[in-house]
Amino acid sequence: MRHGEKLAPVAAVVSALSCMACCLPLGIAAAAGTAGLSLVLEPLRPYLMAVSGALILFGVWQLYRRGPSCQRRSRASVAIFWTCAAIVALMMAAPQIVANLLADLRLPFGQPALAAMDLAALRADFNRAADRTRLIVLLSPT
Amino acid sequence: MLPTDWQSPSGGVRARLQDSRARQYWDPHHLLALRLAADARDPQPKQACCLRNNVLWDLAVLYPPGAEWKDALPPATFFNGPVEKRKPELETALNLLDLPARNSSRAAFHQ
Repeated sequence: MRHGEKLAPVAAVVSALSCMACCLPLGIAAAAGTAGLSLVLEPLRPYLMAVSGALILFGVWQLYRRGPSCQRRSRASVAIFWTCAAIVALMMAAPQIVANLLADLRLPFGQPALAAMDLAALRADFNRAADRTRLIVLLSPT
Repeated sequence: MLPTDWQSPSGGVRARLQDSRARQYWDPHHLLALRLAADARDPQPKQACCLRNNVLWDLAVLYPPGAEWKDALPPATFFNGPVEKRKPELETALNLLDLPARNSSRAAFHQ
């Protein structure tokens, strides 16, 4: 009996949260979030994309296969779902393009894109600017 | 060099260098750092820091006009770090070259 008294309010909270989760597009937002995170965490991308895909499927289930507790499907939920689904699909199809677009927004004006180190090419650039002062700085990428 | 240095610099990191003359490179295998160490010789000053696992890092290197990279890098007039703490000395070295900073060609290498 005592256990029942303690568990009842907890069960009510869990029940309420479950009801809300059925109606809110939490899975969709999480899917978009993990897809975005995968652009930064390159090595984990396959796993994060798999999670994104699973969460999108969860979003489909929430929207179109939901239980009786959610009577109406809001337009906002549908719009959010398809927007997020499109973002996730774009990140899955062309992650580097999305990453470059985001990075280019913050790049200094007039600088060429980040280049992979090529000592021969660097030497050519170094000697091409031989009439000027040249400053090399070794920095952490973070 | 740091535990977090496992990917190329983001746009936000690259945006710290706003000079349009700068060229930024990603050097995960420390090719340039190894070359700088291999070609170091007199009269180039010896750095007071900046070695981790025998690889140079967090270092500023200044070359005067006329210096050419042939078989080896030319001796630098400034070769020291950490970069943040050596800014006044670096500015002095630039002034000694009697050239305004705006006439210099700059590069940054992330490793």
